[in-house]
Formats: sequence, C-alpha cells, structure tokens
Amino acid sequence: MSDRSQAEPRGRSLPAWAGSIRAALRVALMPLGIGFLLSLSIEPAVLATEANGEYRLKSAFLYNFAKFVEWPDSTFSTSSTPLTICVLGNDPFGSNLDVITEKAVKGRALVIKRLRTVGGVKECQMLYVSPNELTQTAEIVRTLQKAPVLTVCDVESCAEEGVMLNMRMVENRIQLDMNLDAVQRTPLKVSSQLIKLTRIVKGTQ
Amino acid sequence: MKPRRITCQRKNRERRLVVLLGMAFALLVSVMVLPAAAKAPLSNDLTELNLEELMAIEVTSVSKKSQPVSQTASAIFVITQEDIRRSGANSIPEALRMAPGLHVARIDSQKWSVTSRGFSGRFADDLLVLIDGRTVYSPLVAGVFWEVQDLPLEDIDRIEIIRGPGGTLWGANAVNGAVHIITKKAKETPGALVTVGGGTEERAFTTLRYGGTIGNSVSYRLYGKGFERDRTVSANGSHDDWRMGRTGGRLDWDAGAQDSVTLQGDYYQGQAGQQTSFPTMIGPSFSTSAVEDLRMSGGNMLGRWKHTFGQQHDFTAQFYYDKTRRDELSFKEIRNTVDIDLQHRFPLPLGQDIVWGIGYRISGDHLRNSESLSFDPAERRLRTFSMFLQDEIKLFQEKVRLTVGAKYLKNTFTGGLIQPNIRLLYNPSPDQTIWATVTRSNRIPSRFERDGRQTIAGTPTEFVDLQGNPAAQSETLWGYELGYRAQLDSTLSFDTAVFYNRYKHSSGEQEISDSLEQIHTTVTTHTYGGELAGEWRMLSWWRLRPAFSYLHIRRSAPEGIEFESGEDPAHQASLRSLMNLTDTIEVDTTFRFVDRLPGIGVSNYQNVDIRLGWRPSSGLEISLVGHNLLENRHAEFKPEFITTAASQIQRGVFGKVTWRF
Repeated sequence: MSDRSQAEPRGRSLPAWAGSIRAALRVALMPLGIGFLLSLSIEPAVLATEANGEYRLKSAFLYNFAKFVEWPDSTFSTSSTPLTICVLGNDPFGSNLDVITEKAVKGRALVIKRLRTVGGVKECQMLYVSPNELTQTAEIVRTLQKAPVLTVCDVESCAEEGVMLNMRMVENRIQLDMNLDAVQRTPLKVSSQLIKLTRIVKGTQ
Repeated sequence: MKPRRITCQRKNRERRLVVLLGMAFALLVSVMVLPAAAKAPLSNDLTELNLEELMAIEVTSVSKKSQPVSQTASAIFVITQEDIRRSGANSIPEALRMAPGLHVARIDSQKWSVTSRGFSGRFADDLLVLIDGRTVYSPLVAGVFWEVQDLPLEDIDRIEIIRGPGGTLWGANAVNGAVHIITKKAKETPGALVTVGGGTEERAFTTLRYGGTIGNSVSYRLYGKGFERDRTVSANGSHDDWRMGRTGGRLDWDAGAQDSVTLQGDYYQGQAGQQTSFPTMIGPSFSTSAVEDLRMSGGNMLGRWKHTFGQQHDFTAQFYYDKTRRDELSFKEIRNTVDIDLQHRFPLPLGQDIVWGIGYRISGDHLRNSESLSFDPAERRLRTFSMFLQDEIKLFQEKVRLTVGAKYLKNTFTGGLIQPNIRLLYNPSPDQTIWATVTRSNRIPSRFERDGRQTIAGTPTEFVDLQGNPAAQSETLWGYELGYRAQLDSTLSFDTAVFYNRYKHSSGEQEISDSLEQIHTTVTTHTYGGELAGEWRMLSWWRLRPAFSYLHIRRSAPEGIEFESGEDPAHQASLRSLMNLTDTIEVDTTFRFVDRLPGIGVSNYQNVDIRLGWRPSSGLEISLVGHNLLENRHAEFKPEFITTAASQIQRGVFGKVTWRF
C-alpha cells in the first residue's frame, strides 16, 4: 500500500451548526467569567495534593470530633486528665497526628496512642480503626460494649458495620457518615452541630 | 505491506537548540512563579478551620489504589483520575501516554495507534480495550476506533493497564495487553460540573454533568459533551478537522446491604474529515484521492447486578447492548453487539479464592462494500462463548500467592481455544513484590483476515488485490514474564518487568499471482523487552516519575510470505514532573522520547507538555496546557490499511475552566 496522495484543491466549509456551537460557548463563558472574578475574593481552600494531604486533613477532623463530642465526667479522673486518641493497626496519619497534640480541647491535652491489638481500646476516648483492622469490627464493638469510646473509620460503608463515624472520600472531599445507633448505645453526647453535617446511616434522632 | 527498510534520522543542531530554549523557558516560568510560593495564603494549621470549612477542602486519595497493585502478579499500571487531571490530557489515548511501555502515536487529528509490547497500527490487533466491562475492540479489522471512545475524562475513576498476555481473565485478543477504563460510581459525582475550554488545536470543548440522589439508595448522573478539533498538517492540505457530541448517564442502586445494581449508557454522534487515497490504473502515481466527511455514531446500554453473600463471596451478572455505525468512502459498517457475562467468586479452605464465569456474545454486522474494500459475505454474525476458572491460593502466611486458571473459548472463526495461565507472587517483605507468569493467549482472526478483499495497488494493466483467507488461524502466544516492585523508602518506589513472547500464526501475505496477494497466518514472531517505571517524592511538593521501555521484535516466515516490520519504537523514555508550588498552584511537565519507526519512515522525536493549574477556590480550577511544545509539528505514525493522508501533529495550547458546584 502506498501513502502517495494527490493534491486536493477542494476545501470544505464548516456546517452551519458549528457556528452555533461557537455562539453557545461564548454565552456559556460569560457567567463563568463573572464567577471567576467573584471567586478571586474567596479564600483558597484547596489542600495541596501532597503525599499525605488526605491524612493531614483527616487528623484535623479527629481534632474537631474531640471538640463536638461530650464524654461523661466519670471518664476522666481529674479536670486536666488528657484526652486519648488511639490508632488501631497500621497508622496512616504519620506525623500529621502528632501535630494536633500541640492543641488542647476544653482544657485537656491530647495524647496519641498507637495500638497493635484490640486489648487496650477501653482506655481510649477516641478510637480510629485503620482499614486493615476493620475485619474485626464486630469484635471491637463487642469489647467496647457501652464504654464511652468514639469509634472512627474511613472506608466505604464502615459506619454501617458498627463504627460510629466514617470519614468518606467523595470526589476528593471528605463527607461524614454517622451510625447514630452505635453512638446512642453509649453515654457519649454528640453536638447537633456535628450531627447536621453527617449522613445518618443507622438510627434516628 | 512490503517489508520496508527506510532509514531517516535527522539529528540537527537546530533541534537541540529548541530543546535548550524549551528548558530555559520552563526555568523562567518556575522562577516567575516561585516567589508566589513563599506567600502561601492558606494557613497550614488545618485545626483552626471549622467542620464546614474542612468538608469543603479537596484532597487526593492515595490510600485507594496502592494496595491491590502490590498484590497483582502482572505488569499492571494504574492511571488515576488525579493523574489524568494533572496530565492535561484531553482524550483517553493522550492519557494513556502516561503508562510505561505503551506506544501511543497520533496518526492524525482523530486517529490513534495504541499498543503494548509491539504490533503498532491504527488497528492494533493484540490489545483488548474495555470500558466498564464492555469491550470496544472491533472484530471488523481487529483494533479499537479510539476516536469514538471519548467519555468525559472527569467521569473516569481509573484506567488499569495490563501489559502482557491476559487471556484467562480478559478473554480473546488480550494477547499483548488489556486496557480497562473504569468510571466512577454515580454517588461519587454529586452536584454539577461544568468544563469549558478552547485553544489552537483543541478549538473548543465543553462538558456538563449533573449528579443527584433519589431517596437514600439511588444515585445518578447525566452528562453531555461536545468538542471541535483543528486539522493537522499534511503535505497536500489537510482536511481532518473533527467534531463530536456525546451524552449519557449512569444510575447506581444500593438495593439493600447485599445487592447493588448499575445501569449506564451513552450515545454519540460526530463527523471527521479525511483524505483517502485509492489505487488507479493511471500513472505516474497510480493513485487518486478524495476528501470526505466520515460520519460515526453509536450507543450502548449496560446493566450489572452484584449480589454479595459475604466476604470474598459474590455473584455478578452483566448484560450489554452496543451499536456502532460508521460511514466512509472505503466502507460502511453497522454493528450490533449483545453480550452477557456471569461471574461467581467464593472462598475455599486453605486460603483459596476461586473465580469462575461464563460469557456469550453475538456481534452482527451489515457492511457496504466499495470498489477498494469489500467483504464476502457482507453480513455476518460472530458468536463467542467462553468459560473460565481461576484459583488464587495463599501460602506461607500469605507471603506467596499462586494463581492458576484457564479460559475455554469457542468462536465462529477458529472453534475452541484454551488459554491457561500460572502466576506466582512472593512478598519477601511488605514493601517488595516479586512475580512471574507463564501464559497462553489467543487472538481471533478479524473479519477482514477471513472475508475481506482490498485493492492495494494499481499498475498500467490491472489492480493488485489483497484477499482474506478463510483458513486464517488464531494467533497463539506463549508469554513468559518476570517482575519486581519495591517501595525503597517513603519517597522512592519503582516497578519493573521483563518479558519474552513467542507468537505462532501471526498474519503475513503471500503472492498468489501478479494481481493477487492473500493473507496467510504462517509468520512466527519473537519479542523480548522490559519496562521500568519509578516515582520519587523528592520534596513534599515535588514529585518525579521517570519511565523507560525497550522492545525487540524478530519475525520469520516461510519463503514467499511478506510481513510488516519496523513499526514499533525500540526505546521509549519519559519523565513527568509534578510540582505543587503553593496550595493552589500546580506546574506539571512531561518530557517524552519515542524512538524512530524505520519500517514506515517516521523519525524519532522528543517533546514536552506543560500544564499550569490554579485552584482559586475549592470548586474552581483554571488550567493552561501546552502540548508538543518543542516542535512546530512532528509525525508520530503513518496510516496503513485504509490509506488516509499522512499527517503531522502540531504544537497546541489551550485553556480550560472546571467548575464544580
């Protein structure tokens, strides 16, 4: 087969509808331009797509959960006893979690504990269950029973399995799922401010 | 299709000067933008933000993809949505340039050759391509019409590229590899998305998408997309401008805890100009050409039901209908395909994971023959029945995974075929994977290889025809692979694979008389080569991704059989740089080198793509993309089979606005 081709003097004109597409595009661009100008005044809120941006953001969520959940007074021996956040299994947060230990919540310092087994979970006020450990969710729930421990996970539909809060990734943003049934079995009180930002996957208010 | 030995290597100083200038320009841009990096506006302390603000922040998920890849005993590469966004790609083949070892060549504005480990061509017959489980490989001429596979890139969740044979799981024609394009679930695309853009080559494009929910368990999305692309450069004037519109949607229903149902579909319509040349008996060129607008349209509907019995125990049923229509001077094709697939996965004691399935497909065509290209019969139904069984056995505390499986496939052209494989994977530590495979895969002859006839040349007295062969056999491959993946530390990882493939019954041509050549599947092919891909997080805001591949092909055939050669690059290399200058500004640069294609007289080339991205607020992204910046224009491939005018791809710049709300 050859690639030889003859000179071809005939040109082609665009069909009529191509012109109207261009016009439609021009019209569509106008509101976008205005939106763009408006947006310049808005505070940028996109986290760099850095190596661990996802878990830097998730650790800020854990800090906020501590602010919006009330533990019964009997949980802490004194008014300055620190609040313990535990990570069960492989720790995906890395140093991001240590950053929030510089903060305090209602006068209490934050302490991070990394657990290998389910044994010590009752000593925690908040328990993050890493994805690999979610196979033993049933056992964790059984161990905790009615203990005031806020459980958190971040895998699709893990709240449906019995964990209280799920930090779900949707379109590069985090959305929260809450298993209200699981929360209401314990003496924990969750602020309505937090509840209204979550999708309730089990239970009613 | 004669063996051609054309050497054309242009190594002039001019080009090196352009490379240097390009680098200097890139440096200048970074110097200008860097001061902005010093005054990052967003507080680094996220704990100072409230919950609503936190929920508005966008991040990329890194946790999703890495896990399964490390436990796959094949040369797999995953392109994520984030990779696509940062590549500045405007079509799926452009995005595939990121995969190491694939050879992606743009033939003209709308035609592409995409291959893995050899056998390049617009009709690259050994690469299987699926979109959400629906095959888009055309049995007419064996290959993929890439121009009509143009879903909105924003809908794609990931593209899995398997280099090397995958017949057992993927089916026939996955001889050299498989590309699986997987779109997002509807619940992952809520709200509205608008993208608008335009530039010198990508003249204008827009995508509109809306996603929502019905009740608690049903989510859906709908989209519309349109674009117009400029013509390329051709010796005698080019006519390959291209425009297309596409619409579709997807609905996901979580019917209880154990069942999920997906319904999805698309419809597209478009036209593209081309200049096709036909043989004549009039010298001196014995060729005439005609300018035409080829018209293409098509649609598909797919339904999938998955029932989960428990962990690692599920059943999936899938059904689809696909219609394509293509009308050009050389031929017209209307094809209807119906496909049903059932798959069942269950665990057995001793850590075994069994998958088995059956599938049936009917693909019927109606063809309009032309003087230059004809098929006899002009209507034919191709049937394929397949069943497969695969067992993955975990041994030595899951450090070793042994996978054995086989697929039996019965088809209209060559009857029953068996495609077995054995895969062994060993994790000496959680950061390292060593794997090896032995595979047999088949390619079913195309409709043309069996039933076709094409006029390929003119002489003063008669035409020379190439005729199909009703006895054409399935190409059979035995492939051997070895691979190693390692995460050296938290910043450095790499993935490498080497292979040796031996093909029997590759396609060649035998001269029957002065005016007739016939296809004979008697060519034997040996290929070997390797790929290396790495990722280095040099700084928290700067990542580098180098890739390199080598391919050697040797073919042999009995006396009198001619075959194609020299259409694949021996060496390919690329380097991607991804920089987050601030929390909102990204600068991404890709350099690539593709070796010469001596068989069709295409010289080697190197080029650079640059993307500048800015996200002034959480829902808005503005980007400026430059493609092929080093040269005014360059050739990447030459058309074969259906002989359209040879084209050169131009430098292109476009701007794009993406708005989510």
